[in-house]
Amino acid sequence: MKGRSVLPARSQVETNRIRYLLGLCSQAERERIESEYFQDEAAFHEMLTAEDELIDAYARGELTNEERPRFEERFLTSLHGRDRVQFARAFAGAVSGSQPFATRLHAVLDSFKTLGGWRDALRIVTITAVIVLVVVLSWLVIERRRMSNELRAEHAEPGKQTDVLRPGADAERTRNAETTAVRSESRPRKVEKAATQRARHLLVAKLKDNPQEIGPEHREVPDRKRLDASIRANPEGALIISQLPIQGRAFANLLTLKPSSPVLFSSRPRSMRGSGANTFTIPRFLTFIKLQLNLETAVQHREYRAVIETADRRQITSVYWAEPLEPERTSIYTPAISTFHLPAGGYALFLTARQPDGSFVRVGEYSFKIIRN
Amino acid sequence: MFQNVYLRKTSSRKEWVLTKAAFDRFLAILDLDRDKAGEKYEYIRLKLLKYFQWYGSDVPDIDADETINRVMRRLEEGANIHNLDRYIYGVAKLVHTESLKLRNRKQDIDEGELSSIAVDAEAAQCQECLERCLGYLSDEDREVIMEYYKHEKSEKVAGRRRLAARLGVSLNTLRVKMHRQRLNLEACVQECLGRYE
Repeated sequence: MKGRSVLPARSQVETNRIRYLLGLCSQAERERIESEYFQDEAAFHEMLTAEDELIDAYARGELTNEERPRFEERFLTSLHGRDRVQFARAFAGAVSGSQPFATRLHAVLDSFKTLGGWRDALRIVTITAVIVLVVVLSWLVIERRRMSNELRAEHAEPGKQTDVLRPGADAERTRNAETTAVRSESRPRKVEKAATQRARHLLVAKLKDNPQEIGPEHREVPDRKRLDASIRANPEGALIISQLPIQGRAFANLLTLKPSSPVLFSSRPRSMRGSGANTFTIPRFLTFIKLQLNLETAVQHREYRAVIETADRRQITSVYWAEPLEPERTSIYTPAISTFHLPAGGYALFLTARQPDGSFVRVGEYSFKIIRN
Repeated sequence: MFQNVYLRKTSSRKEWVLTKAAFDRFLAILDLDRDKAGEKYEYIRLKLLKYFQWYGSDVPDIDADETINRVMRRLEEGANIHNLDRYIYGVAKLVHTESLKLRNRKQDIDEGELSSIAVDAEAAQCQECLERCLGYLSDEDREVIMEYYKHEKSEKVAGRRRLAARLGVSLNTLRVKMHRQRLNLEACVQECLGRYE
């Protein structure tokens, strides 16, 4: 079968190699190439690199309509081939920084094959993607203006700022953690994180063991003096929920968790006495939360991973982030987690830390319950 | 009354079994230095593995080993082979032809399976593992491999030429090095993914 390869081949030789790998060349040409690489080491190495190039081209969506099914027939019918493609997609994302969305889009396009007329599907997907992009950009511009207005209002009130929860240091730590974690998350999450990172002010409402205390009255600007007093009375971390009062809408919340016993959803932590169950009430308008995880010992690791599961062991989400090593610290903060993934119910959070040899060690387990209102 | 029937006894064909002597003889033909012979053996096996993979074999590793076994048997039987690589290629073609007859070669690609490759938790874990494995590289190696693979389409060749010139190596040398680096990364990622299972 003859065909034209659109891969960026430097020479006819390289083009022939690609055609060989795709099974597009004649039997005679095939045997010539095989005989060459069986007897010549350099030719064999060039075949190996040609294979790498072909896999990368597929992962980036650069193959033609003729080449793609041939590639899939030859490379995706084996576990080894699928592993190589998966690696290529991840690697393309790592080197480009924006590829995960593109490769995902291509994969979605692949799935449209079963519908037939995938070109029409491509057109629809492209138009939809453009519309979504416009909406997201508009939202970002609007929210930025709101943040700026809020900042101006806050600066007009000196002395009432961010000393409630060490927000300067916390925000910086959060920014650093989120920056390092952002590469491990998908593109939509990156957009959401960018929005949360712009939030600078945290207002605190104390939530002791009364989740219902966060009622409608606390959704507006809360009484700071009362909240500050409550925090000072319970410095070890009564449950704290924080809001960003950007015209009544909240972007991020900081929830404090204390470690629980290895049994899930236990209301009595094994190591820390006197604290109640980790129950949070999350208003429906809240889009993200962050979790402050109190550790049993001082921070010892630079990188952490938190996996959140439901009561029936279904994984909801996992986040991976870096923490600065500060010997005095006994709590760490997760990146922002979308509340979309957290309807009302019980959850368990498994915290692991990366060791120097690259393995992960269990650091703590937390259980919490979420009430949505 | 029964007639005597003489049934000639037929002996079953002996299956050839790889022996240490046959293996040692093969290595000695590859190279007198046993370590170098071992490297050449692995190289031959890799070539065969790739040949069968590129030919679409269901079991490329089995076919590769079968090919080597047959070559070693012939050598043990005293065959005088002038061009070992060419001979190995010939045996590989034969093994492939026989393999085609034995196995069902038609592979229906499951569209659902293909779409499941795309976005799922394993892809996210793969990304995470890759970032960790990239972290194991030295800063220089990481920068070079990221620079080598970052270009797309028409810019790819020019970008790699510039990189090779900057490093003071030929483009071919750079390609071979990057291929090996990539294989190491792939192996690291697969090992990392194994921890999540």
